[in-house]
Amino acid sequence: MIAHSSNGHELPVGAAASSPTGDAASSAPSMERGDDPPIMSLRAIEKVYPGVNALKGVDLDVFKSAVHALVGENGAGKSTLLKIACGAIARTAGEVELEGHKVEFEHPSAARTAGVVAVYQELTIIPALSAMANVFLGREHRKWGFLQRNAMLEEYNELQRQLDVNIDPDQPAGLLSVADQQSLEIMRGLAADAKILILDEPTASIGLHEREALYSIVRKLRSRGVAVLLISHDLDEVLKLSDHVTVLRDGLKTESRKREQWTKQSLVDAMLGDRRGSAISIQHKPPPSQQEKLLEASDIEVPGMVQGVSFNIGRGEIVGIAGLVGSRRTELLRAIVGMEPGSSGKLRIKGKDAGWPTSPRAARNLGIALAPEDRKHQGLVLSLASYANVTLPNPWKASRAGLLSARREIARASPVTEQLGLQKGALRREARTLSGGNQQKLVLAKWLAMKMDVLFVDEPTRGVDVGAKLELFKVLDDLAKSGVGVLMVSSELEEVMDNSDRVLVMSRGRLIGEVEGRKTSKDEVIQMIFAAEPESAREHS
Amino acid sequence: MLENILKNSTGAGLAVANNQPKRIARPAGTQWIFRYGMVLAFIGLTIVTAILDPSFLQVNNLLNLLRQWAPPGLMAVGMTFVIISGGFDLSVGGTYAAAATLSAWLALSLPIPAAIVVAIFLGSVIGLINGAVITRLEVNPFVATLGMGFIVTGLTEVLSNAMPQIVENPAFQILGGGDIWGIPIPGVLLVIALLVGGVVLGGSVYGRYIYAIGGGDEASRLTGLHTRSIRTLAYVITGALAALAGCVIASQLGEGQGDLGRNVELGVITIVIVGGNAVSGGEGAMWRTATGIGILAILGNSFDHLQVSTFWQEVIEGVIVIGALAIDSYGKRRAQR
Repeated sequence: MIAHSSNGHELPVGAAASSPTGDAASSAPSMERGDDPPIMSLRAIEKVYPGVNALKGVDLDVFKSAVHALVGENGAGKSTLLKIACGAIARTAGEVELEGHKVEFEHPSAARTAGVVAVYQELTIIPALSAMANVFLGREHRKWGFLQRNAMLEEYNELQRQLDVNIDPDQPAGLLSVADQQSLEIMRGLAADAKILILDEPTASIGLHEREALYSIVRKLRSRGVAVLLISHDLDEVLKLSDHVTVLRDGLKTESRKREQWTKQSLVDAMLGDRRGSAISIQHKPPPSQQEKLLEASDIEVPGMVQGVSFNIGRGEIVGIAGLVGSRRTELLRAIVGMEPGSSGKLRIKGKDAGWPTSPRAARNLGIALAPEDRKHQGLVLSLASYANVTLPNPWKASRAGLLSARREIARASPVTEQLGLQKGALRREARTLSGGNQQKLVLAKWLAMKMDVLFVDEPTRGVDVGAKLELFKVLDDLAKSGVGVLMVSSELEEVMDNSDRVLVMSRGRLIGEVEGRKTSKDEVIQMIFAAEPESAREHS
Repeated sequence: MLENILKNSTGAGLAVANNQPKRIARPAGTQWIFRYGMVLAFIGLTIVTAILDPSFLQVNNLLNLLRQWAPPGLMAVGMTFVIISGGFDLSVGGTYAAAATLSAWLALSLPIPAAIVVAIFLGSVIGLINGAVITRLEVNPFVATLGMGFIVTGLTEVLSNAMPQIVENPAFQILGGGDIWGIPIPGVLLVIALLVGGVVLGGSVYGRYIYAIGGGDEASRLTGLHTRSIRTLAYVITGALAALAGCVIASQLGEGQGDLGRNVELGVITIVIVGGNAVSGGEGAMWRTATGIGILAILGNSFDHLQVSTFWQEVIEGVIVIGALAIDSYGKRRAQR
């Protein structure tokens, strides 16, 4: 499987072999032995932030024509390591070698010039510029200061051909799908002659069938000799795509092996370390028996998005929504919490007619709240302390005559945050310093403290690591047990199926079916979705 | 002491250091220096000035400074609210001049307190319009208040025929020139505004809302906050304080005129920035604004004493503004890298 070219030139890399050895050594099972020297080596990298030792001496080798995946829980140091590799942050100690030479990247642009290109989760596409302008940004073909459109178009088409994508070069990049924008970033890297491409959670924000397209792009890059360094929380994806997998835990490298020597279970074990025994298993609550409906919505319309959707949520019920990206799941949630101005529909809350919410405030007054997908911008005020985020919906309750004190606010927030398993110490910290899982808990705590009847959660596990994912679903389950109605959207079909009592299946803004969670197979739902999707959407899968 | 009282209560910077789970020796106190850099600069300036110019610390000189810096200081208190909420107000100069002119003109026919109340009301209405234009018509605050400043200044000149409104009545001069227990009334007003503003911003629910919409407008809206009203109120506060400042200056000069407000807003914003409040919103505190007033007052005092030309004064002020921001972003980058 490993695509190293064998040219007889041997250079051992692992610590096990410290001097050049003959061919006999290559049959040894020791990991990290390529036939070529690594194109990039990170040696004993340390990173100390004020108060935290993020990396404690990590080695990593990246080889040409190979995909190297980095996995680990949040806070294990994966992103820090990648950012050091591409010059986005400074290291405290250690060395970076590129093709055998020590390098110092003062800035990501220096790394880019040297052929190290990073594509982050937060894309750096400029929405108002055309697709092609984005690809050539900063290195436009020019003559006498004028842009050479034809030359660029030619290269653009060549890049498209290499990656087997098809994106209109004149389309403003902001109008493209996230997957296409990602392709543009990769094309931009290739146009700059990237030797090493760093992908940070590339599939976190794209849907099922778009992932396959990305995988094929990554495989094409590999066959062109590019080294790919990948961070992903999706272990199936890691095992499917990579040649080497390195596991980080608490700032240390725990293991680095060839892909064949890993299984999903051994990866999880390596990631969790001592905690593997205590991994949470959820005893799912039974679906609620009595049928008190907390929320009944019918004939929901969002112009151009959602058409005639009707559904209900019972007390203590977890309802999931399954569908591809573009099925308008998120828009449906947003409409009901008053975030889609043009939307309309009928709403009954606990059996009584209620006006259609036209603002988040109105929805909140009806007892409905949304934990949005974009936690950092829509869910939390990152510059505020964590406790202040929990009390934000109604600080008056934690105030005396309108005056707040941290002590009172924490006293008010902590019962809820403790219920969600958030350490008390985290409450005083700025929300931006918390991990993805803890930020998600903070958003839930905010609404829990407000005693909402119905909680909508959009992609609750995005950017959340394996351990915390299970914990989050346990939290949702407990919430439902306490009588809250939960409506959950996730791109991970498995998550939706495993954690919902009932699953609504959506396609292209319509409800196409409803199945029982946990009892229905994933394949059945996928069949349902693809039967409803038009041909064009099926091409990629 | 003022700093302690006015310190904002979110205290995030300190709290982070105290609650990190795995604590290791951190680089000695560099964060602290960046956080309180401008306070240190203020203390340093005070010492240097006191040594070079012994007359600086004389009570009379200090009281004079207080009287002189009260009008821009009052406006800076309001501007702090607006800037932390993520906004900007370029119309304070116009409001200031309009209130000065209106209060002087009204003082010719109405009782003085009534004239002042009406002028402050006018300032609040200007702030209300600013807020409405920004939150309802969704015009960028920079543009909305720039335009409003022109409109208000222009209307003042038109309605007053560009003539100064001169008030002979000595009662009119009490607000700007009078004393309470030997302290100039404008200074008392400024200290009250800083204290009340500091408590509201750092300790009240409204203050929390200001930090919230400045740090994350969308998240605040989705949390169900009335972000429009919160934002608008910040402009109303600024408008009212700018009008109060206008009444003070009219009282000190014994007249009001439409061109009083030229470039005043820039001086006010300078105060807020020099104190170390983030122009991007969401962070900052009233004690920072108090520090800004202190630094600029001492500098102005020294310049006058050393007979530095006003042109050079401007150059130095420019360097200080840019320097303050550069130090601030350097500190932030260091913390992140």
